[in-house]
Amino acid sequence: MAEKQYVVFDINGQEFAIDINRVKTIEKITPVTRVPGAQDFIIGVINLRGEVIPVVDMRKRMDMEPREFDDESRIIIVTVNEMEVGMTADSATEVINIEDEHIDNNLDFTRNIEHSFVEGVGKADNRIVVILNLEKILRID
Amino acid sequence: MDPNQFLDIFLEESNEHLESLGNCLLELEKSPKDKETLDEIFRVSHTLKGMAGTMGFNRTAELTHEMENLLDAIRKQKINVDTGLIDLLFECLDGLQVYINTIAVEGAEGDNDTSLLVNRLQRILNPEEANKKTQSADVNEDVELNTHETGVVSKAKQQGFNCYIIQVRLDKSCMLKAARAFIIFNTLEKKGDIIKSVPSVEDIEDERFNDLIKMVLISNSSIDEVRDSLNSISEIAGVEIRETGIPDEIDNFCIEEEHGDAAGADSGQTNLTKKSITGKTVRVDIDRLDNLMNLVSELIIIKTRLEENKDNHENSNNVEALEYLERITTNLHDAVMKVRMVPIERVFNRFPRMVRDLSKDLGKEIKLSMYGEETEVDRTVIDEIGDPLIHLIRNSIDHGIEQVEARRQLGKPVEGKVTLRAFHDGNTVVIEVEDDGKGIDVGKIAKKAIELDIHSRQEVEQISSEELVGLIFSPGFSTANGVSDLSGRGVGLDVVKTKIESLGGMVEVESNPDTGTKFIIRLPLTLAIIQALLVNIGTENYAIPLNSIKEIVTMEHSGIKNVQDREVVLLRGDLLPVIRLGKELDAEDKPNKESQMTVVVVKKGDRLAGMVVDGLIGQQEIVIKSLGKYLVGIKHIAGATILGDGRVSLILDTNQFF
Repeated sequence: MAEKQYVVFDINGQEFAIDINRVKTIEKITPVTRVPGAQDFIIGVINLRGEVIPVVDMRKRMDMEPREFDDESRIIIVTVNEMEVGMTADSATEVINIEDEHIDNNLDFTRNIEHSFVEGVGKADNRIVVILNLEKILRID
Repeated sequence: MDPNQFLDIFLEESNEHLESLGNCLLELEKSPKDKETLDEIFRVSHTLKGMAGTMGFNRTAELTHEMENLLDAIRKQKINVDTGLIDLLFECLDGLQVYINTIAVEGAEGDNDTSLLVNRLQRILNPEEANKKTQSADVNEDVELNTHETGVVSKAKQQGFNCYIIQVRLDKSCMLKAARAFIIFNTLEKKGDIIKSVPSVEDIEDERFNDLIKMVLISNSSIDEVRDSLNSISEIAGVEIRETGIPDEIDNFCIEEEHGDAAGADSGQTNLTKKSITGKTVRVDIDRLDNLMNLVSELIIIKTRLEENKDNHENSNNVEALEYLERITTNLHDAVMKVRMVPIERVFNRFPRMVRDLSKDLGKEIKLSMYGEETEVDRTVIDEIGDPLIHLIRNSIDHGIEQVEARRQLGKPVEGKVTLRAFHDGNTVVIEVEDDGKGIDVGKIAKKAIELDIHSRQEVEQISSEELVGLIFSPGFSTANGVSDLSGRGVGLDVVKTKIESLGGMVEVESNPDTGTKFIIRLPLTLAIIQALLVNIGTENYAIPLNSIKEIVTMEHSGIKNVQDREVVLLRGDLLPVIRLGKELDAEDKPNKESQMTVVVVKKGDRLAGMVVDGLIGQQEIVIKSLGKYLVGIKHIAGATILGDGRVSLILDTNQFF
């Protein structure tokens, strides 16, 4: 049975997941420099050990209420099309295993979220996590 | 020996050799009698052949071999140089380039067929002559070395190697002579290098020999060792080995050369200096240099951080150490930069050939002059600037220079002139492409601008002709009536502009009707580390590259006037457009109750603009980092930098505010 590992994180009380192979690191909030003229969901750029990395505000991207960053807040650095991009999360909790056959495309659970952002819904140990489509979320088509 | 290990070197060197061959051929076309050029061509193609042979690229070797035969005939004045011959040699070069390019991609030569070229080469050489030559190889003729080979021998001798002339006679009953000969070659190559064989390797391959092979071997083994190794091969009738008598000849040769120098002939000397230059260089992978550059950048960031730390300023020891560190990092940066610098020659070199071909195709007579080829530019610029320059030169030749008849009527010299110039100007490198053609038709541009809805008729009447000419860099803008093979498709100049701006440079155009057009490209000398002024805008910090700043002035807020919906101030009697950076960048406002404002005056070419900032932080050396592909095309921002405190600060692209 094929099984993959996913990084699970929390935004607005909902659990989201991304394939662990796409995640480079998970960072605490560092000072963000606003980039004027960038798309509104990009809050700016951060310095990640000498590299300048753009950061996407996931709450804004998914039309959720804004919220101040706190100690639990994280920036998840993912690799998409050889680019490194950060995504904000209220907290990043753990890594879980989800079997491929436990991922389904029934999107009823995700009525609050733009459907194209969702790759599928994964079930593991009575939990339901929304697996995100990074390309769509970051609008790289 | 694993040849793949040397593939990169082979490719790089081959490309260099092909480039210099091309230049030499152009030279030869101009002065067909120039023996030095001919010798150079001969030498280079010989090296190329040798390299290709070693790497096992037989088609390349074969083609160069035939070229060499032809060149040799020219050298011996059996054939005269004419345009047809030069064209043929250029075609051979193209053929070789195809091979080399295929090797670069696939690791093998591919199946491009050059046998036709080889045939043509052979046909030029007298066929009887060729036959005689193969026959004479069988006759008991002594091995003759050309000057290049004697040079090799003498060098080897100086380094303590032995040089033997070896004669091997194969057994009459030997069936596969070529194969046997190869075993002999292989055996000898374990002992040293075979620098020459009679008959040649190619002839042996085709079994065009009887049973006698003569070779010149450079080796550090003794005669006996060499003989023993050969005797272990079967089907050999006899082996004869003797040391070459060349050393004496060479001694004589050297003496003669010295005499020659004294008498004023300098060809030998130039050759010598050339050799010593090549001997002192090291090939380094560009990635390693990039890595080195990155490390230097990191060092500079850390240095800045130390400088910002106040504690360090109270202790005089630390201050001294910091100043020393500052000096070292600056020197280190300069040194690394210099390592990355390459003469722009590398780009320019391909243009004479291109201009020659283009002018032939278009039936125009064009002379290309190049100045400042030795100007050094960062390696990354070299890699990127080629295509834009090709575009501009094609443009000049295709659109700029008139047909011969038109030029005659205008009383201009029939031969059109295209001039390529490179020089350093402060912290920038300037490259100019100039032609003496018909210039840009401002009227046509105005018409096109109205057609494309860029400007209205009234606007067109108001804007200056310079601004109109600048429109040629807009996307989709082409005033060429017909689409030619070369240009006029409306792509081109905007691509040129984008490319140059992505390198942090800018391009301008000056044009006068009937006297010509000049494109001026300005590029930063270094792409990685610059001096910048850090400023406050609202609650944020931004960096403005120092080389775009003309001056900094303080002014009264009340000095701002509205002229035609644009804010301007008077600076020493001249109108200066004002840009409120806070507004342009949507920065959060910082309450400012002072009546004075700080204005950073920036320049773009001859134009000036005043940028209103909320405060000055200071001048600093910054390392430019790209914002990355994800944020590509952000207006007003040229990149980002990391400050001493670890925060990211954006670098303003002042050109985009104009």
